[in-house]
Amino acid sequence: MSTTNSFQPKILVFSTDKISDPGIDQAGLRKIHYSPSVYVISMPCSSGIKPRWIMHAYRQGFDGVFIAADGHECSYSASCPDRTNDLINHAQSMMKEQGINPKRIRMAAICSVCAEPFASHMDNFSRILSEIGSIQAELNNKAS
Amino acid sequence: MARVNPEFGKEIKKFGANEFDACYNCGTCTAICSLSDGENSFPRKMLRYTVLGLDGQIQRSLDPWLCYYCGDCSTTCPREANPGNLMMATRRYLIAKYDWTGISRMLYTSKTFEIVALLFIALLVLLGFIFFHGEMTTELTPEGGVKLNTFAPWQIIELVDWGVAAVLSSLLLSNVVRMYLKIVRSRVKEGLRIPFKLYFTQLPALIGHFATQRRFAKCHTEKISWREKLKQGKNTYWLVHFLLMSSYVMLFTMIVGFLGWFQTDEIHDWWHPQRLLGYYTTVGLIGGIIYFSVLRIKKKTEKAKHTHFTDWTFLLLLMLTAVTGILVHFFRVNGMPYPTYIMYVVHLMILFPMLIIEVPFSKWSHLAYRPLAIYLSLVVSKAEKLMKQKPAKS
Amino acid sequence: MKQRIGVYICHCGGNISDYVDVEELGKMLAEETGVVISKDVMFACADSNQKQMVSDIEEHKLDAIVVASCSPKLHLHTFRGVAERAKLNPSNYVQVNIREQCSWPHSDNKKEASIKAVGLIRAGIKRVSHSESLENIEIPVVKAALVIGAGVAGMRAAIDLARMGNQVYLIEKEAQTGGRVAQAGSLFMSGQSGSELTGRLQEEIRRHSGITVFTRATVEKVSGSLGNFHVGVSIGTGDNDEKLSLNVGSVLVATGMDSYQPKENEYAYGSSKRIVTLPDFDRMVKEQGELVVDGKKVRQVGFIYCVGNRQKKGENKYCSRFCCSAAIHTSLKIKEKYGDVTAWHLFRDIRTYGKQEILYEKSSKQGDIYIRWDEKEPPLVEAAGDQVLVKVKDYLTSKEEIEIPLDLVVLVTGAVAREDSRSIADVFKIPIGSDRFFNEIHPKLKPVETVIKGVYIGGSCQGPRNITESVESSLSAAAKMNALLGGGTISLDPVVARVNSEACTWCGKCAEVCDYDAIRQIEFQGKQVAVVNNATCAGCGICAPVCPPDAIELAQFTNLEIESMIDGFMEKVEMREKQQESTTENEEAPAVTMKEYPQLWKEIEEALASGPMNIPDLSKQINKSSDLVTWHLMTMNKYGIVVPDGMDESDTYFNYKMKN
Ligand SMILES: Cc1cc2nc3c(=O)[nH]c(=O)nc-3n(C[C@H](O)[C@H](O)[C@H](O)COP(=O)(O)OP(=O)(O)OC[C@H]3O[C@@H](n4cnc5c(N)ncnc54)[C@H](O)[C@@H]3O)c2cc1C
Ligand code: SF4
Ligand code: SF4
Ligand code: SF4
Ligand code: SF4
Ligand code: SF4
Repeated sequence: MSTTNSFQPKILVFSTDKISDPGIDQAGLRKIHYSPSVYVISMPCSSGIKPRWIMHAYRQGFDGVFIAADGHECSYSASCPDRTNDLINHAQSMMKEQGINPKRIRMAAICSVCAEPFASHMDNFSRILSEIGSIQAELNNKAS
Repeated sequence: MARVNPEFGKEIKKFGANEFDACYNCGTCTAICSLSDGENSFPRKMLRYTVLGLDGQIQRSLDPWLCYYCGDCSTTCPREANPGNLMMATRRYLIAKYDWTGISRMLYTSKTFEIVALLFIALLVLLGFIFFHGEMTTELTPEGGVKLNTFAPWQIIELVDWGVAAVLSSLLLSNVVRMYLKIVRSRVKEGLRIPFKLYFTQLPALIGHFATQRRFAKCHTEKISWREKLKQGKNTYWLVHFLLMSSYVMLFTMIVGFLGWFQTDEIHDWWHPQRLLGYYTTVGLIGGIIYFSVLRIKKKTEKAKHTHFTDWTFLLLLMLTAVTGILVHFFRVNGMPYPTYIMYVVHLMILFPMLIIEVPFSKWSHLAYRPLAIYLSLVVSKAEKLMKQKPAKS
Repeated sequence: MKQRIGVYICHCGGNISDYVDVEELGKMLAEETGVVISKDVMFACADSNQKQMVSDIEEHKLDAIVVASCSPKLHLHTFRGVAERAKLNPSNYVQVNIREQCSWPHSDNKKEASIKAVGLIRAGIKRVSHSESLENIEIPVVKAALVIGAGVAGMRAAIDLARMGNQVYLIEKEAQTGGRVAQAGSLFMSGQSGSELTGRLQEEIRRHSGITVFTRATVEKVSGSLGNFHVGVSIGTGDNDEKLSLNVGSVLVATGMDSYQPKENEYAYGSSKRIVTLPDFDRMVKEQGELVVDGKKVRQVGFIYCVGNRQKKGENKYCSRFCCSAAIHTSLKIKEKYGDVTAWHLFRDIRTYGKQEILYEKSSKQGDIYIRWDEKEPPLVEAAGDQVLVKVKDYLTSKEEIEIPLDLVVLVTGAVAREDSRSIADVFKIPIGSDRFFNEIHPKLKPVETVIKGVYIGGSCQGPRNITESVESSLSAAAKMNALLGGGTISLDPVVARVNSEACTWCGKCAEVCDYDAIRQIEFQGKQVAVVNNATCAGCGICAPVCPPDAIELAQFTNLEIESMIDGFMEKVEMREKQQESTTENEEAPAVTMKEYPQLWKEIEEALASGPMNIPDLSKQINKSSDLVTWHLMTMNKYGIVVPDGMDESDTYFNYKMKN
């Protein structure tokens, strides 16, 4: 497709106040570039993200949702990785209903100094989403 | 499986090693020692054996004999574990182990024993003279010298010499055989095969090392010429040691083999070989003794810092032998009969104990053990190499 | 919905405005619904701007504010403070991060950076328009603390808590206080005896009227929460137990650890009197004037390290940290006390970290023999008559296999969690690790806090520790507890979960996932519903996604707020053409467009008025750190306010002066 060249996938990132958001700040501090269509919402804990917000993001035109989790570093709950996993599974089943490609959601543990890893996650995810194409097309297909 | 001897540390301390248990096996000594070849952890391994108390390993080891105590290891050891001194003490320990009579051990570990033994032999010499001396004539030779051969006919003295020499050398030889067995037998038991011809091909090394003790000069390997070293005094130690040792050996040969020629009543001209030899050996001995005593008193070099009491006795006896020898010569040439006789007895009362005690049981046994060790280590390492090659070929 | 919102967009002295067209943004966002004023400022955090904001809020009757600037990690509290000073509830403030997450990472693409900034700020405006005024949660606290376990950790914490004026109850299971240390012989590093140390603490406790000690006492049940726990204690043994109920504001669990007990035949343990554990040996050394076992004098002692610890395959994977030091200390002790004893240390690694390295240094120098072994080839121990034979491979002599005849073998046993740790965990609902030690919330960030607010852990019940480390952690817990108990009430962050009772159907899912035990079931208008205990809720939000009817939410993270943010990101942005030009203009004549600058600039200006100066002198004169001065001076240099004026006399630094 020739259009994918100019297509800049929009990514919504959920980060966490104490760990992954500082990691994302680090990337900026060190002027490590990633796509400017990445938008971040910071939460206390990645296990508090509601699947309905994720669905809302797709409907509003986000091509992908990335969860920058704390993994085992989470200071709230030792079972955080499992819980975050559960809600992603939940979201994916909702996405399936809507005909949304399950690859449009991703999770990775981002630590408070994970500047490069974050940027490279964004680059990879952007590439994958470019290959999948815009969410608009996918939602339109389902509708038709 | 080797059983450790937990008391070994205490044992080796009796032989003069003290600081080795501070060793933490860093290997600095191995890195600095010019005799280590990168494979054998020399001398660190001896320290480890000692710390663990692996006396079996130590007794079959050749390493202590390869070391000439340059002291580099001791000056660089970060823990001041004094590996050089341990090697020295191990040599004393090994001499005691090779010696089946147990006399060496007593000599090294007990000052009292050493003194009593020396006095005892001196007493025997004295008694010998009291009962068997010849006529104490005051008549002088035509040149005006004392007739020493009438008081102590050289034929009889030489006979006694031979008897003593025979006993001493058989003792020494039996100890050398024990050394050989300790070293070779355990290795053969472990499967080392030593082709017979190796014993011959490595023979020149034995002779060369015996004659010159040249490994000495190998210590402090620096890339400068021999002459340069001499100029800078770097070889002085070796040189003086050579002088002392050659004097001693010559004197020994004269007394035991050619006493008739050496102990004459006639007074030769100053250029006569007999007198020249006498001068050389006297200078060699006295010069050497003074040099080593000063070193030990000043404690300048590493090895001189740790003088065992047997070292001191030895230097003292050697000095006294030389001095009394000169006095005998002086009195005889100047026609003073009684002083000559008395001094001669005193001279022998010092010489005999020294020879009897030191040759087979102490210091001078180095002379036999060290070259043999170098020779055996060459034989063993050649044999090991051959063993390694053989299976590769088949 | 907020109707009177103020928006402030920061230049950050160029850090933002070099890449994002903040002036244009300021104009553009003034047109957003609900926005009353919108402006770009040079330094939002500058004193002058803060004052301006306060007067704006008062003058324009603003009901919410948004600052688009740096990361909230830096200035969230600064601007919350501004709101508070202007009598605006600080939860009606939102900070938008357009520096770390916009101008800097997208410095390579100014146009996109400006577009993204618009999205981010719009999201902030929308979020704040749904914000609610939240009040801190005030909870009354009982000014009393309960300490469970009277080891060094518990006793020391009890003393500190009492000194700070709190009523303290100290509960000890055994008949005597003092714990493990009371039985110990000589301690590293001080060399004093265990009973000496605990004796001192006991004496101090006895003297303190604020501490009540209960021995032979255990906790049976707990109810209540932070600030007001009711703890049921049972005192005595079996038959005529006395029951007691204590009312406390906070609890410290300091129940300690156990020493590992070797299994039958682990290193031939149990097969001979000559094979003992380190605690046993310590006791022997403490009690025996002469070291004798079975009538034979002990001259050769072997220590085998890491027994029951660092098991790659076994249960206890951890290292107990204190045992290396304890064993080496004991071996120094026996040499000192009995003289003619040789110590053989058969170790895996020596972990005498920190100052304890001195012990190792001393021991290895005095002739203790160290032999290292690998877990794959542990030493073989065999009792043989009045000796114990130990076989081991020595790595330092080309793996010579050696056999050491010893008179006594000491198994250097590490620590394990207490047998009954599970029951304590159950009573307090604190989590327990797979190693059965208690778990803090976070080993680095919250090292003494448990998930139960008001319940702390300290000492070796958290994991193996030496005395110093045990006391350190229990004291830091004590300090935290005192901060809670000190004021009579505690003010808690209002960001907690809440239940919409109408919608809730009490399925219990939220209570199930809540690690903090903050959700309980109550009756509401004839049906069962969930309710959140504000005092214990940690505000993690984990309960929110699991609720089937979406009846529970976290304050400030409501559907309305988050979904409106998403909408804000995605609203179409039309940057006006000429704005591109204005950016370039901006760069050409920066000094002219400067409207604001912080107090510090004024001070620098005043200082430079007297003549050129280098940075070190300047920072000394205005009494600010040289980092700060450098940063601002460079910004002033960039905007042409100051210029370099050659090198100083020492030829090390540049001098700077005012441009005109
Ligand atoms: C052999 C050995 C030697 C050591 N040597 C040293 C040393 O030289 N220097 C050093 O710094 N450290 C040393 N340590 C470590 C030291 O013992 C610990 O760091 C210290 O004991 C930890 O103190 P604590 O108060 O946390 O636990 P403990 O001393 O174990 O005390 C816990 C207390 O809680 C009580 N308790 C337990 N459960 C309950 C319950 N349910 N209810 C009420 N009370 C309860 C126990 O009875 C005990 O009194 C050594 C350890 C060992 C095993
Ligand atoms: S003797 Fe000294 S230099 Fe040699 S290994 Fe031991 S500590 Fe190192
Ligand atoms: S004294 Fe010299 S020769 Fe002997 S071991 Fe030390 S460094 Fe080597
Ligand atoms: S402190 Fe030493 S003995 Fe104890 S478990 Fe750790 S390494 Fe092993
Ligand atoms: S999950 Fe929702 S419905 Fe279930 S109890 Fe909790 S709040 Fe009520
Ligand atoms: S937010 Fe929910 S899950 Fe988290 S502590 Fe509060 S009630 Fe529990």
